[in-house]
Amino acid sequence: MNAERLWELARRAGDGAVTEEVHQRGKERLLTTLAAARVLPARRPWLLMAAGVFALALLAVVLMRPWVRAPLTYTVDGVADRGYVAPDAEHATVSFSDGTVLRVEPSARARVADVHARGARILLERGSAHIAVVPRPGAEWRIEAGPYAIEVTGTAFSVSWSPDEQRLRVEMESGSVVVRGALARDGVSVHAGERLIAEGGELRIEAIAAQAREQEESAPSASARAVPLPPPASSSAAVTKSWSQRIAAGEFAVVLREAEARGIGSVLASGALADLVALADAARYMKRADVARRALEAQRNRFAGTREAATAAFLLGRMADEAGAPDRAISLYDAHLAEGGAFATEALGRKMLAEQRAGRLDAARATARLYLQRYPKGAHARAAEQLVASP
Amino acid sequence: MRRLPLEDASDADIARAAASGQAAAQGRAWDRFAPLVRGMLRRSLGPLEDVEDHVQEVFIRFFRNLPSLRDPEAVRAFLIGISIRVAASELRRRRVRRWLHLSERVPEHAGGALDEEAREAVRRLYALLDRLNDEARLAFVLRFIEGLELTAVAEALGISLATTKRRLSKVQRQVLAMVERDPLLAEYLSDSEGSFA
Repeated sequence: MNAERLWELARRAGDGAVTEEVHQRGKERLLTTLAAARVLPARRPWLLMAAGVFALALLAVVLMRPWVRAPLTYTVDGVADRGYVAPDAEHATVSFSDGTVLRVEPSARARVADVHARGARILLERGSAHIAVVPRPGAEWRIEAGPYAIEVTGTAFSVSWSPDEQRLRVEMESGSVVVRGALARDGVSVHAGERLIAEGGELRIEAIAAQAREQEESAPSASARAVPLPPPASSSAAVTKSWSQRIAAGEFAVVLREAEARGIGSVLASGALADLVALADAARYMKRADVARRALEAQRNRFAGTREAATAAFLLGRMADEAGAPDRAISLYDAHLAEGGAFATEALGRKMLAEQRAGRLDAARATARLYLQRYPKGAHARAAEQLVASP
Repeated sequence: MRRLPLEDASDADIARAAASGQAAAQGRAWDRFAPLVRGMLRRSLGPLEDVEDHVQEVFIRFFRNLPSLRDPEAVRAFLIGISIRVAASELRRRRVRRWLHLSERVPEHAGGALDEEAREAVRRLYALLDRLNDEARLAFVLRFIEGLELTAVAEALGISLATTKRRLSKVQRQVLAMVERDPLLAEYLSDSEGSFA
């Protein structure tokens, strides 16, 4: 580790020196200000107070802005009975004006209890429902089922509630939700590819395997994780933290552990892009090259065309390079460059070196010339010049 | 070469002269301390930022508060403290602007003699520092980038030495972890040569 190099670079970059002209201009400006300050009249207090009141009013308007927007509207396509959506043989659909769709399954009984500008509160008295919430900044949706509340910002999932058995079941398709209630007072987060089941005084989360989806009543899979009950108050923040937040806090081991609990395969197959990026970061930092490579490949396979997929190509190229596979590295660097990735300078320089290592000297020289043309002062410029000059 | 009566005066002499109202001392204080203040602000806010307005603000506060400086020998620490408060205020202002979705001022400072690669690395480092809270960021800058002693960091931030140590230990881990995850910056953490000139 040689972090001091980086701090030294920041130190040099932040040098306090300026040209003599800038120095003198600053000095004149300061002396003029100081001279003027001596003759400035005392400020009138009422003027300051008026400015303060105005600033507070402006702040209040800004703060109130989200609340003064018009509430969402919705239409019901199906059977509505005195405020209840209660389909008999076929499902009923509630379509909200922001694009969110609630589908209430046959025999279920649900009610839109409250609608506001940021979302709605939906009561599921019994049966199953599916909701696809359109992600929006500040979105606030809440599904209440018996003693549980599911808090949603933007995601798709199915929920069923049986009042007789006191059983809640939540199956995530995308995104994540936080479930609060009798067995999860401080909230527990459920992610894409996971199923939460709360019944009989126990709450568990398990990975949804493809086969398990077909056999809904099968026993919990081996990868099920039990959620400690009741969660200690001090752990509430940890329970609801996203992986990205954990990565930002340096909790790499926790991310890896949670991924393993959910099943690495399941995360790779159905996890959100942000989770895949976080998993790859955690695995790289924990020197778990196998998991990192799979997470990066999943980003490329499942989210082709995104900025993250382009970055994954660069990182996979570096890994291949370090593993002594220059040909594979070259093709990945090429992919990064073709996709307009953010590390173009580095990718081109590394491609040049990989070509040299692979003995493809003509190609390396051509890449070196291109590098010098594009980045004459780049980090690999010296190596490129040597390559171009070599016989 | 500028010829002023206070040219060879010590820092403390300049502070005393300025506090006693000598007009020439104000210009001399600028000559002596502006690079210190400018460097402190650039390293706190980002070396690619134009900080001239903030340098002016620091000096105006400095002259306004000079009578409260009990030990003129400590004038540099006094200025560092003011610079840090101005930097903290600017960081808060930026956060409010971001929250209100107002556009940020485009950086104007060229970043000295750095080549494009190094400028990019600096930009990325400060983008990571933007993710820290202000207290952690300023502690990190003072200790690791500015290179101040622990006691000086504690004094500039107005916190105890023990709190400073705890804060620095945590923020160092955080920053190293973030740097490690950035492919470009991670090069600086490896001992291999050839990636950055």
